[in-house]
Amino acid sequence: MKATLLGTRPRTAPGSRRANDGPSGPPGRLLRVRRSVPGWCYLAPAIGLFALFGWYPIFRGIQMAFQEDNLIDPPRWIGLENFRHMLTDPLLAVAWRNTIMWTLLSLLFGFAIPIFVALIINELRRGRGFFQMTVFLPSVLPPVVAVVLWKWFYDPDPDVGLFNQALGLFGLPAMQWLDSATMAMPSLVMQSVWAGSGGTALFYLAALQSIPGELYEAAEVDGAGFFRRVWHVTFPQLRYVMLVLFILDVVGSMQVFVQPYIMTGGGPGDATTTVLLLIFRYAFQYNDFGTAAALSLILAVVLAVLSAVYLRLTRKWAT
Amino acid sequence: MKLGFDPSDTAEAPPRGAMSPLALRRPGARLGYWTVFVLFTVAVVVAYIGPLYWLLVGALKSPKELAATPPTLWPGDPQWGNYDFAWNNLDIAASMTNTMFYAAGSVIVQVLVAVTAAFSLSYLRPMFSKPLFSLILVTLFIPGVITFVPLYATMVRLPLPGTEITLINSPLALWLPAGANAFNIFLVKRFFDRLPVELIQSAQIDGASSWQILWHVVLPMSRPILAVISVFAFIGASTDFLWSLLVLPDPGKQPLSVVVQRLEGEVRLTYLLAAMVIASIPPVLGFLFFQRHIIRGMAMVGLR
Repeated sequence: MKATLLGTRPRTAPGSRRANDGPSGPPGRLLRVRRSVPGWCYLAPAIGLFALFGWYPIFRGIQMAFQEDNLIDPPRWIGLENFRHMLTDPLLAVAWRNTIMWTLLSLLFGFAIPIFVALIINELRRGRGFFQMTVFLPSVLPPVVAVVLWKWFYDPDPDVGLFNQALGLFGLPAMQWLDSATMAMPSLVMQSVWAGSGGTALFYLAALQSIPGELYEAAEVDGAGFFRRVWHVTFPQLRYVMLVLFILDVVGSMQVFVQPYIMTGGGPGDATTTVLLLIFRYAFQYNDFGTAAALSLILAVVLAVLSAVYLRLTRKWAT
Repeated sequence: MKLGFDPSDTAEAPPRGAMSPLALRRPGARLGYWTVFVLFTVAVVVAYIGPLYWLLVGALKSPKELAATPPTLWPGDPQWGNYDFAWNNLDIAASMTNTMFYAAGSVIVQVLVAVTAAFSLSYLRPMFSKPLFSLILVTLFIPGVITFVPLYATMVRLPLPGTEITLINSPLALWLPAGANAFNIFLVKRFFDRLPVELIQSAQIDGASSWQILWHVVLPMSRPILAVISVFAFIGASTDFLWSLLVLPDPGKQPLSVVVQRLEGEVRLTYLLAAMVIASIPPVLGFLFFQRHIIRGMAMVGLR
């Protein structure tokens, strides 16, 4: 690209070009179009990629939900048939129940830990860099490595799995972990909390570090002890971050896939079959991309509604 | 989401937290502080580093020692041959090359697209750039799940009329969707918006072309944001699993993550563990080298 781009005449400031455009009307507009060309050239890569891989798939996803599509034959419109097919699948209710269960367990185990970790790191006088690095390290591992690693830890054989070895050291009986219908889900959740909590803690830490010290000093002058300072100064300042991370946590949890896919394959029985796992099966095992798209659409709508309601409900606390 | 960032932001420690610096001088408080410090250190190290240590140690054991009860904390006779075997006999060397190739391409595409788009949105501001930016941002609020299946369909056959192009088994299937990253464009545009306008104006008066302005004025000032985007792109690309699994069915083209998952249950555990350690090296090294940028990047996302 050459020197004609935006240097045709000096501007006073970016964005003030409109003021220099002279009288509007056909000649002015033509000039504006001509001077927009370089700007569009720079945007071309982004527009091209978003058109193909950002915007088009959203449209295509909605379209596919009402089509029969195996990606080989031309797609055929079938109205609500995909949704009907999906509703007759006995696994659907199981998958939703498991997904909601996963989300609740993730919040139960996973929501408080990052806050607690961040609070302590923030109070420490030394070693913050070390702790930041340490808690974040599991989040950097390839998810496959982290998941396969824990699958090994959960091995039911007391000579193989770390957790059963540990139980053995204390004379406790070995547990089934991933092979037990009741323990499988909490086991998967523990892995995901381990892998994810450090990253979340760093978000809280960034928020904690932006709390002005004067607030604590003022509370101290007023005679508030340590715990009251945490309760009345720190938590109110964290409220906004907590509200946002809570809904991000929910939205992320509802789309869980890697843990059940690798660790249990959805089992034992169907104990860890989640909605996304079901979508994956429709699409890539049964080649039924239409039903997969229909279920994706429903999950996306549920998440959107959930987020909208949540944001509405919490708006008055958020500021 | 209020996404606040000031280029002068640093991850420096604030002057104080909830704890009173004065009260810390009292012996009782000091004892409490040190107790918490030690307990916390032990808990964090055991919980977060412990599993990684166990991976590293396990990869150095013989199968017999790996099954020993009680387990040994350090291998009696470190089996460095596990790495040798994984590297040479389990396709790990080839898939490491694939991973690095995909990650490098992903970084280049993401940086290129984000910089050119943000430069145009921030400085050139052609007609319709505002609604276009809104359309780009909208993709951030669409749950990823809705595009997962149709994006795959797009890879199987690109929606370009009159063509039959497939990106399956092509590295473009990883790079191009990665380039359509609204968050990158948002972060870079925000950074550009806050650079000193005077420098760009004086370059314009000197007759510099927009390309020269971007290359010689804007980019040299933008290293921090480029580092943040690059390191996140690198870690994201070198840890990706599901998408690579779907679009790269050819085993010879698969990256480390996919190969590790394929090897699981197929090969001796000690070899698998060694392969897992190798698969962790690229993202972990990227993290350790660019740690400051990551921490700053997370502060930049600045949910406050």
